[in-house]
Amino acid sequence: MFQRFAFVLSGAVLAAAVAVSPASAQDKKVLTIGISQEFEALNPVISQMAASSLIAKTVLRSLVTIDSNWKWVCVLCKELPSLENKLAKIVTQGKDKRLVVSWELNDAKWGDGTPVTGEDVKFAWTVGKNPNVSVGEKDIYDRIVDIQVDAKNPKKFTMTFKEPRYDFYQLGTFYIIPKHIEGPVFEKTKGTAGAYEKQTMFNSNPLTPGLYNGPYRVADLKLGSHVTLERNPNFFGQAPAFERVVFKLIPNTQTLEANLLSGTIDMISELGVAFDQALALEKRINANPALKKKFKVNFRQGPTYEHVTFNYKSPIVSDLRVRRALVQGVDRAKLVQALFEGRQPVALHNIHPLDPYYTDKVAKNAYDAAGAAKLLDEAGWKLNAKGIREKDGKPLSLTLMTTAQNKTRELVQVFLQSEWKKLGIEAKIKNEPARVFFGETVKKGIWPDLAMFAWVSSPDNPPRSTMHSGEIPTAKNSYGGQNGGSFKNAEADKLLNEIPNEFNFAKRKQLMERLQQIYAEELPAMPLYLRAEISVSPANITGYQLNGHQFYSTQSIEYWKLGGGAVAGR
Amino acid sequence: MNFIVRRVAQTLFVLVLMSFVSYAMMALMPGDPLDIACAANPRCNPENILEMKRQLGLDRPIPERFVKWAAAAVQGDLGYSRTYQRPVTEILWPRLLNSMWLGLLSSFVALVVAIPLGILVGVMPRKKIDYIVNMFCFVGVSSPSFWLGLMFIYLFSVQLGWLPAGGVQTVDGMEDLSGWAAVLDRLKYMILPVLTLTLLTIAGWVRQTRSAMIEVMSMDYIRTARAKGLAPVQVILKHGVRNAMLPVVTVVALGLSGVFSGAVITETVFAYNGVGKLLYDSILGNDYNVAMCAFVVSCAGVLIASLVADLCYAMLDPRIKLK
Repeated sequence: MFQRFAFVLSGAVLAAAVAVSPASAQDKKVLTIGISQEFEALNPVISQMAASSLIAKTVLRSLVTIDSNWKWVCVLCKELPSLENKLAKIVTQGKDKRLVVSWELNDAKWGDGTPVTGEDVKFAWTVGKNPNVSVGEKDIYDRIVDIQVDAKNPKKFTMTFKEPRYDFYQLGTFYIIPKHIEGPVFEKTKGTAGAYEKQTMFNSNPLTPGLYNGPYRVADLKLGSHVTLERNPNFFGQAPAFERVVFKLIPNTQTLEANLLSGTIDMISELGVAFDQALALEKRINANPALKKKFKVNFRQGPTYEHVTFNYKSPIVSDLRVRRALVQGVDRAKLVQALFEGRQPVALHNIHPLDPYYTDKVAKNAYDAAGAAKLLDEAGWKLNAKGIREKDGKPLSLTLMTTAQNKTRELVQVFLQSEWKKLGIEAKIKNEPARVFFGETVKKGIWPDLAMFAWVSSPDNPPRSTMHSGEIPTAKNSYGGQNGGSFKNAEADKLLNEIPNEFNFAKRKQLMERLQQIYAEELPAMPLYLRAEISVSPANITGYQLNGHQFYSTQSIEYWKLGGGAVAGR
Repeated sequence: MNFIVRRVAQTLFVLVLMSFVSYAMMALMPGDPLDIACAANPRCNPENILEMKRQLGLDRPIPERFVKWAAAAVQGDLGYSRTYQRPVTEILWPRLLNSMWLGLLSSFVALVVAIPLGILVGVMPRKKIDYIVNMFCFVGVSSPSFWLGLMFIYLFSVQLGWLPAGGVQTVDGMEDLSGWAAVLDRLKYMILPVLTLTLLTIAGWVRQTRSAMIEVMSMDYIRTARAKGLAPVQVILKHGVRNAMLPVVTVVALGLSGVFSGAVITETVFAYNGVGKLLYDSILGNDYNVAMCAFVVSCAGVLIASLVADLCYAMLDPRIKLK
């Protein structure tokens, strides 16, 4: 009897639940975007998660950003300062040379109608540089020594930089937060470590309209679940097409895909599906006309490049001939074709092809198995009867490490292993969980020979952290550098010291080109391929494009539209 | 009463011990998320990371950190989540409630189906129905939850479009659901995860009940009861089921304890905002306050469930004395 009752009850619940299902067609007033990574509160000064940055770009705009053509452009400012337009000038203050930069904000307003002013900029800087506030990229605040707001026009202000560096305008992560709302909170908490992070209004009352200056403002936020955004009527730019945007967290990428196909979400953001899944999904979409009408998979070369970093502490790979042989002995064109269907191209060196300093006038280190064998012979590694190279009775055996359970990396490892085996080199695979690999092995530079991982080559960003000898992590500097392979080159150090101080673009480009040549000649690492940035969008979306750099596509969300003619994007 | 007091004291001791062990293990795991985030960012300043760790107290010895955490927790201050910068209670309780609803509903359905079914096939071993139920159980026991979940999503969401593929409730913000509409909306999102968890649980519980029933039904006292002329239903319910329930109670009680720790795989597959996924993420993210709180709740759940199981033994079998 009870079972019968339970059965009838479950049936009734199922029927009723399905009956109250909201209409799926909402005339696309709402755009639901799936993400697979967790997000935190949206205070951009203190947030650290990638998903938070992705969402924050829809509600908060910074002074400047990088557009989809990899150019720095104004967002909240009227004109990008430079020495040429006289908005930036080098001055001498006592013994020091400083850079004074004049900015003028556009007519941006906060979500409650209060104008965005220089006082807000100064406030964000005060918060960011406070030692009691945890900020990931504090350097961006520490570079500035003073901000003065124009008494007559609060939209105008000057920034004084500690050092005259050419990249002063690269303030893409210098977010402006509203002083009229966050000021009282900061005043109460500034003296206690970690207190501001806990009490910021972005945390305690994220629905406050005045916190946001972007095309949307937060209407609902549930950590671990979703963020719902509504149009910001006070946005300074074009009004967005969608009344609401929902970011829905779906951690499992297969479920994310199922949500897309079932219509629960409309698109998958850059922080969604993995590369191999995207390739399979694209094939599935292309094979099914009904799906093809609905979705498209977008690929764009991202700023991240995979590489195998050589550890110069290894007596074997510290020999340039061996490094060159290892690079020339791998057919990387075949690798990217076989594993990625050519969607993730071979990386030539550590600078992205869209970077203004990129050059291909460097040693190509193209596939040349015979040349690689010759180099190994020259280095004293001779083939023995078993087909393994040896020197002084020791076999040429190297340990290749990477993150465990990363399917793509493990496939690449097998490819490298088989290519090197043809040369008589034994590559022993030793993988570690990402947490151990990055938290210990890479951080301390303690992998035996070869470590495969990725670096971000963000636009217009000299690779000091990975190439300067001062960035070699040691116990003395608390393992505080990112040059884990211990690469040392006096010329590279000199160039990396000079580049930030060179304001002339043509001269700076020359220095950067030389740096790329050194990289290709000295091979601190074997560049493998440029990772693709991937998303899945509605087939008829316009104004949407992947940027391929650290600032997500959501920075142009106001231009997104379903159907209709193409519209300009940022 | 004495037994209960002693068991509560034991439970508290085990809780403190387990808390320290898990705290220490979490702290000893190599690679802090701050280091990993810094390693991926060429603009990251390592000195800044050291300063952030100092602010979080991560530079202090593990026992000192544990004592500080435990002392605050005992006074009701569960602290803030390092990941979300929100009070732990604000992060944990909504998810714990979600997990509890999911766990209780699936356990209830599983109990209602599995126990009668187990009894039925237990009294009819090697009959057609036994083979059919057994086959179903083997499929259930050997199906991974992530696979079963994805299959349900594919069938009911992608192909049929009847049910949402994941989430806890409708979140488009276009309609303000309240009252029964809100309850039904949430139930709609629970159907697939509950179905997944229930099917997996039913399979195990049916097998357990079946084998206990087969064993009990071959006992001398059952033969005696039958010889006394008792009706078959009375023999089964009064003498068979009551005795067969002893081992089943342990399995069910421990299964119910999972209600407090969530179902990490099912919650992840269905993007269900529960405590299982939170516990997993907080351990990986060295979010001590959240992880420890979730861990203590889940550990307490197991210990309380086993205490309840012990009490149930005494109720089911008067020969068992709790001392």
